[in-house]
Amino acid sequence: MNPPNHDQSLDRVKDEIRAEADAIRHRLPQRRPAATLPPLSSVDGGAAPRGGDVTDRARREYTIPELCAAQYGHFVETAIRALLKRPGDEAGRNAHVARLIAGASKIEILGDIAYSREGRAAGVNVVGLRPRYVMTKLWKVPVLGYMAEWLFRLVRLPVLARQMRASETYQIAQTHLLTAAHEELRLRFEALAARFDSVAVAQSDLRSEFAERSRDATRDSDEMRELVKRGSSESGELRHLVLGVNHWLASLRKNLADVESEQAEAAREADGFVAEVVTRALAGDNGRELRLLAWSSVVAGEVPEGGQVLDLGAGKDWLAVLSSRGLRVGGVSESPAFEALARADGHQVATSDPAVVLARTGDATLHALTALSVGPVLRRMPVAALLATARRVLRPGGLVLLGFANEAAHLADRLAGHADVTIDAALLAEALAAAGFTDVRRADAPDGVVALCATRP
Amino acid sequence: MRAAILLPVFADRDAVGFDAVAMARALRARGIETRLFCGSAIGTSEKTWSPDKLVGFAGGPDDIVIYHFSMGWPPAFDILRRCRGFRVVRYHNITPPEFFEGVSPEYVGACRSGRDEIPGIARLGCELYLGDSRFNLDELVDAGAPAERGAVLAPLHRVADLIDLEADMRLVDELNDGSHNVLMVGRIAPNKGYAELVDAFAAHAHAYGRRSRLVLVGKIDPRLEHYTNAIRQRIAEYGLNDRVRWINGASEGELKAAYVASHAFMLLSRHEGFCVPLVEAMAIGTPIVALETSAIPETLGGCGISWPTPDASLFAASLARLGADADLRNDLRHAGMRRYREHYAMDVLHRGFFELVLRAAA
Repeated sequence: MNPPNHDQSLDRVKDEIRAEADAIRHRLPQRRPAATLPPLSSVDGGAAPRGGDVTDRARREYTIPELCAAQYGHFVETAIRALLKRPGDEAGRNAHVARLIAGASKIEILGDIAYSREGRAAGVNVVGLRPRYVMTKLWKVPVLGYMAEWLFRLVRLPVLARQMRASETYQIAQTHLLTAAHEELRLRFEALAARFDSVAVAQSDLRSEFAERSRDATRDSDEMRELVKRGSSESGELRHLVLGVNHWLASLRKNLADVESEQAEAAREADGFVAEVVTRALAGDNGRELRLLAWSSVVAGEVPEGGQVLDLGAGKDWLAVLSSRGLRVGGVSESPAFEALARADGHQVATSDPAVVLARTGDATLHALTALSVGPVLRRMPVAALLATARRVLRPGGLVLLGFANEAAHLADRLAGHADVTIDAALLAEALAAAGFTDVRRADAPDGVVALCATRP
Repeated sequence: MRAAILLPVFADRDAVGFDAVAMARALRARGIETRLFCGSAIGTSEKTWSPDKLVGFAGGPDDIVIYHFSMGWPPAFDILRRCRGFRVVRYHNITPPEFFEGVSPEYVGACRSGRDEIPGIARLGCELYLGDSRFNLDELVDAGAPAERGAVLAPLHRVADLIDLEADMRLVDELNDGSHNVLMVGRIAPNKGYAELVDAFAAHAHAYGRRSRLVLVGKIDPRLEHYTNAIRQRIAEYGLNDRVRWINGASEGELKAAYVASHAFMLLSRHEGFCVPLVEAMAIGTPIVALETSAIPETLGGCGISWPTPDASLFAASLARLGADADLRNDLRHAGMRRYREHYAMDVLHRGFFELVLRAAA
């Protein structure tokens, strides 16, 4: 609900409520001070007694007019409450009402209540009641009483006649009022009847419209049901398709896993094959042992005992020679088979790309960096990147040794069908110098295999 | 930083007590060591300390003291004067004594002494004056509190608990007998407008004649027996004894049942500092018809039918309209629930509390 609409709507509703309140205002209930009275409607339909002071429990004196103001049952109840200070019981009240109906005067009823044993005990005084009550009692004496009342009424005859005339006038006036009220009621009834007829017509129209709307609603409901049914069917079909696709994806994933597994197995076998061929080829290289010894002398001459050396791709024999000279050696190989062979001899070798290993090596942590077959290394990283990284990882005064021998990485590359990197020693020497290395010199092996070494400033 | 919550009388079942406890818990949840200090404690499981220990605990320049001001209590002046940190006066309002004239001299005295303290508290120079409502805050500012140090934060309440707990089904069944139930929640006291409430209900019952029932959920105070008897007498004078259901000292389940089973919540109170029952009615979705006095229009926020005068005809016609107009009932229900979520939900109030107290103290 939009708040401004809510406010406008509420204002309109409040206007309607105000109008409704004005309409009911004249029908508001009145509180009845003697609300604990028993329901007088069972005795008569008269109005409630006026004022709350007549039945005030603390009051001990009344006048005749104020007690006689009420009529019929209310007169009796008021008299009992005023004179006995308690609500009237039904039997007593009805007995007094019956006497009123039989023609007893109010004075007589008041006196009977006030001068009863209970009334005397209550001690309530009604001003002027006693002489008038005595007089009514006198009239009860046989013969004499009758005569006395006859004389009394005879004396009061002119007064009675005047009261009769006044009463007659009052009755006529009331009759006129009643006739007018009756006429007004009749007119209202006719108006109500007319409205009732129009309401009946409206009701009939509403019934017809309701029936028509009901038919529309039934038709819409049927259409809706059909749509829901169709939607439900399509939803089931879609669910089936989704399940089918899920199944297909699961099968595909399994097949891919199988293919990858077979590829890994083939790669492992190929790697093992290459390792065996390379090992045989290296074993057949008669000058290799002297070569490795000569280069290890170069390294040991520059690196203090226990110095850290990292080799890129030479293999376990080179690592063994360096270790035998008291150096701490680590190697890098891209072949898991070579790594396994080196680890079997107790050397630390990582299976990874040389560029990755160098990137993860801390600044100035190495005393020497060797690559006896520099070609495979240059195939994986440009010479500028290799030399810049070498400068970063070498300590000041550290040695870099780059050879052109047919070591393990070189042979594995060739077996994999990769072409040799064509770079000669002179060009590499220029690159070393250009990269800021000092003391760039040849360190060729006794059998003439070329190598270069240089010092990090 | 430490925090102290100070109040004269601590009863955790009343609105002030719960506000104090909720503040203490919120501060502790932020890692601030917090203690409750009170003159006396009634039926509470929360640990409390004597007020004379407060200054030693949280009287330093980095500490916070929150005084819940809802009645006269002279020791508060001395304690607040001796504290050197961030002092907050949380004003819950005090009923004017005129409401109790001729009903209870005891209440007249208590209310008068409380109201007499308002100027003193307002001019004490505390760092923050925090009213439950703008109505409350304005009273403090009118009495001399600096307006720039004033703020409004609705009382922390437990309406969320009321929403979650199960209603008393026995009472729900009793009330759901086809009658149109009209609910009022609040202690039976002269400022709550029970006489006008009965008049309005009688007008409705008389003018519309339908089966209706007035459900009065409120604690009957023996000290206000004269007033309670007058209300009973008024109901009898309208002949409505069998249409009024009194529930004295209702349990939480009965309170929930009364809200759930009622078609309207009708409030003709003459003086409210905030009126938590309005929030309860909003949260549970009972449509509201109310008299526009004191803080009631502010709390209601246009989410109910309200009138500026206690005209019985207007209220009767409002009840009749609510009974007959389902769209109106739904509109008011949704508007009330939205107002509760946006303004009175506990996460909203907690955010406001931290914003006002902790940020200002920092």
